[in-house]
Amino acid sequence: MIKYLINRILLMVLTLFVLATLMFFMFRMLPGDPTMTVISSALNPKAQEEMKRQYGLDKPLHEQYAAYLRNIVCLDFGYSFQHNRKVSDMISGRLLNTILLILPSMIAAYALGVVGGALIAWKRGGKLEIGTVIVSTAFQSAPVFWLSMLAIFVFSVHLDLFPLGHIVSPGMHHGKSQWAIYFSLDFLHHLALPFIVNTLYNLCFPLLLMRSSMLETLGEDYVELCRMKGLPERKIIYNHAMRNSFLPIATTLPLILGWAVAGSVVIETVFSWPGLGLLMVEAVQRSDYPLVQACFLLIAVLTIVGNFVADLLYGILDPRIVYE
Amino acid sequence: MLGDFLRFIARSKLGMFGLILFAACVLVAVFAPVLAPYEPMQKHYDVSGKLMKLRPPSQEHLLGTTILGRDVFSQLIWGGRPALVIGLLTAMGVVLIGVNIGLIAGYYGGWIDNLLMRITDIFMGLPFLPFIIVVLSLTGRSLWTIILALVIIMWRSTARVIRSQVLSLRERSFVDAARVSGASSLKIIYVEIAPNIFPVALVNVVFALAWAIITEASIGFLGFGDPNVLSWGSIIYEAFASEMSYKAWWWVIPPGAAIMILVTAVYFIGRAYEEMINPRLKKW
Amino acid sequence: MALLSVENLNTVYRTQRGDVRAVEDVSFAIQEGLNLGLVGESACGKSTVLKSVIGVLPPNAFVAGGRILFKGRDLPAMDEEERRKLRWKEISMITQSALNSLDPVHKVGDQIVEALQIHASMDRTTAKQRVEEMFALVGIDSKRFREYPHQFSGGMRQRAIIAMSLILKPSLVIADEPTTSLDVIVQDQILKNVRKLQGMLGFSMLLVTHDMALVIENCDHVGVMYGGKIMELGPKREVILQPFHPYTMGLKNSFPNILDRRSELISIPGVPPVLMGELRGCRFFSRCPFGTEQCSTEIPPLIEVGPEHRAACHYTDRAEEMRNKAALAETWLNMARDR
Repeated sequence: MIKYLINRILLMVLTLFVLATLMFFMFRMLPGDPTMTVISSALNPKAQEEMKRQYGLDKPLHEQYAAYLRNIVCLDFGYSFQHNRKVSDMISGRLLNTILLILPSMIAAYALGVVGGALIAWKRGGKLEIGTVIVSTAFQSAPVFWLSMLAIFVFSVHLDLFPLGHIVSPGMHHGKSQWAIYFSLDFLHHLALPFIVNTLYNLCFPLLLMRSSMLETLGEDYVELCRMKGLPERKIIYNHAMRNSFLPIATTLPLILGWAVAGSVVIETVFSWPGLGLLMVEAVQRSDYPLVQACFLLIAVLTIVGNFVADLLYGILDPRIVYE
Repeated sequence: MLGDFLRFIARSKLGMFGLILFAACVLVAVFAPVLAPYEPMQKHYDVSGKLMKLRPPSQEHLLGTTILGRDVFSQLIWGGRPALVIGLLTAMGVVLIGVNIGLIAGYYGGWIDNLLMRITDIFMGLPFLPFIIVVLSLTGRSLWTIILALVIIMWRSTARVIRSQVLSLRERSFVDAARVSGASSLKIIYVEIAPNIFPVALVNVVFALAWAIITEASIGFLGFGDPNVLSWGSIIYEAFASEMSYKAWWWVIPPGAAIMILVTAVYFIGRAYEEMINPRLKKW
Repeated sequence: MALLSVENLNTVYRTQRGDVRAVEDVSFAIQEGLNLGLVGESACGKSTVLKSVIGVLPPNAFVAGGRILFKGRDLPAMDEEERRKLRWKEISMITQSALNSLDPVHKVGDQIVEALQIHASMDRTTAKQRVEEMFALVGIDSKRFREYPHQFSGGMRQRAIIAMSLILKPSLVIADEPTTSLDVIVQDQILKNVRKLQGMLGFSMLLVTHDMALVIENCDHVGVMYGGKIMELGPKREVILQPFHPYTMGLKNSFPNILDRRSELISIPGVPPVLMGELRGCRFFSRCPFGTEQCSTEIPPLIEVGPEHRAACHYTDRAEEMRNKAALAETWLNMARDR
């Protein structure tokens, strides 16, 4: 087990390192002045010179690279062109917003999807199964931004059940602390619709996959033996069938995380949810490169850490991996 | 082999349904110039010379008009082209690269396998939509850069799947027989093993196509699509950016529904084929 | 009263192409402490008989008629919940492919403890002890309690399966091709072990196999099945030494005789019938060298040919003659040519 853990940690560190390097070279491959991606051309020439020296941009490439890596570790991402603030100041709040939306909805989506898929597979046949498969397939085929817009259209505009977007009602939380805001009912009210849409959208994939997996597992010899052992059906499903069926799903967790993070960009745009994804999109639109880079790195870190956790989970679930 | 594929699909009701829908979408996209009543970018004015902006569906404009007075129905018909072109080219690219890498990694094993799998693992860490956006912001937005970015992100899962298939096939007796008879490695890989992984590769093509279409739509929606190309995603982008989208349901619903229908059709085809390969999933 | 008495059992599989009558009008009995071996080719219905007895048929299969009396109670007629309680406690099964019969994500010991907890409401410590005792009896190191199935070798897995099937001390143990996937030496060890345990725990065995030698070594009675029906049934000495059914005679020929090294193996040409739709006459007719018009239209009933010995053939009175002819290779080869 320890060996597996170390293996995964090394992989994580390696990936982060390769990613950072990739970013370094990508951003400097732009035609024209490579410093364009670090220092805003809107600054006056003297300030630009200052910054150049501060960020070591007049030094040879490998020194720049070393400095770059050092900066990342110290969480210094430079200055945003647009906002003229340190990028690192802007990001932390946004990061939390993204996590508060994506994490609960992914957990809910997975849990519901897995349980739903198992249920459907168990109660084979009939209209319920066919209907669920068709509806799930159609639902996950629809673009999530469109579904979000439809949801807003129906539930916010027409039925007036939820606000149109954003994270809190403007002006409502004057003077309150960060934490107070997050625990307020107003926040939850704004969270509700994007949370529901994201959950429903993301549960289709695990649901369909779990169903396929269960159908396969239920045909296995050891399940037949469990029946012969006289185990009650419920025990067979929970203890044996589901645990085995879940394994292929667990291997897709990293993939799902990739989707979730991608989805966050789109959902935040539609709901004007001030998270990392929306920040990145806005930054790209304004060619605010330091901000783009930082957002992307942070999103990537989230994904990679998520993958790591998923790998760990898989190691716990499948003894064949660990006890080689 | 394509004939087998079609015959398989035809046996499943769902697969047949998907195939027909897909064919319909392709036909509409191909015959867009004939089928669309107007030029998609043409602005329309009414009799009094006013721009017909945000008009609800009517007889002349079956799906109404956009905020710039353009006919939504014509845009809908033309919007399918980039989805299909990008989707199909991406799927082909993904499978080409993914299959080859999977074959090589699976067959040779050892350090080649290790290296290729590490690379795949690293790519797994890239959140794909943000990555694509960043790449596009640096390389500029055109049809080809989009396809390239999509392929870079998507080849990894195909490679993994093909590799594990090859690993199990490698031990089979027909491979030994080929080796003993003096066939070169390359020949074994491409003449003996490759045809056997074809079904799995085909399933991957289909699902890659579905993902590519959805991702392309998302890119278009965020405004990062090719600015010269009208796609379903970009139609919704325009609607959203105009901040009038919630008033003009005729503008927003059709392109999204079109994406949903096309992708659903592809998924149905993929599932039908998957069920054929793996019969335990059949027979609801 | 017999421990297990199967009377006119009919089991049907419902498929898209029609109903398959996998088991038709099968009757046999097993007395306490004695073993019955069912032999026959693949798809002759013997596995289906087992599954019907233990009550774990696939969803598209069902018992269409007849009775399965276990200690006097008709099993198919019982309420499913009651039957479930009987399963494993009274009737257990040693399965064929131990490779896939164990759940890969649970420890081997835990899977056996599970049976004890469900049926005997034992607490974990007592259960663990019992399992370790049983492991010792079957020849598995008790340390391996905590290991996973993939860490066991093929032979060990089979022993684990045997331990699991005997842990509740059932009265009847069904074995479905228990040693097919093992090499001969391990096969021998395992069966000797099972016989020893039988002596200690006193259960009866219903052994199903295509290997006649296995039956001869381990059983008291033999039943020969073909095409879903019983062709011959009786004490093993009688059936083997003096078969009354052509199929049994043919089977004898297919097994190597270690004493007579010059004798050739004679196989029965042809393939088993498809058990769907209209079926008339003896199931073996198409491959029987002695078949007549009557055989093709009338199903031969199981008639007594000796003490506890029955055969389903119209010409049991000419058994001696058939036996002599069946021992010759030409009888079978000529038939293949003529048909």
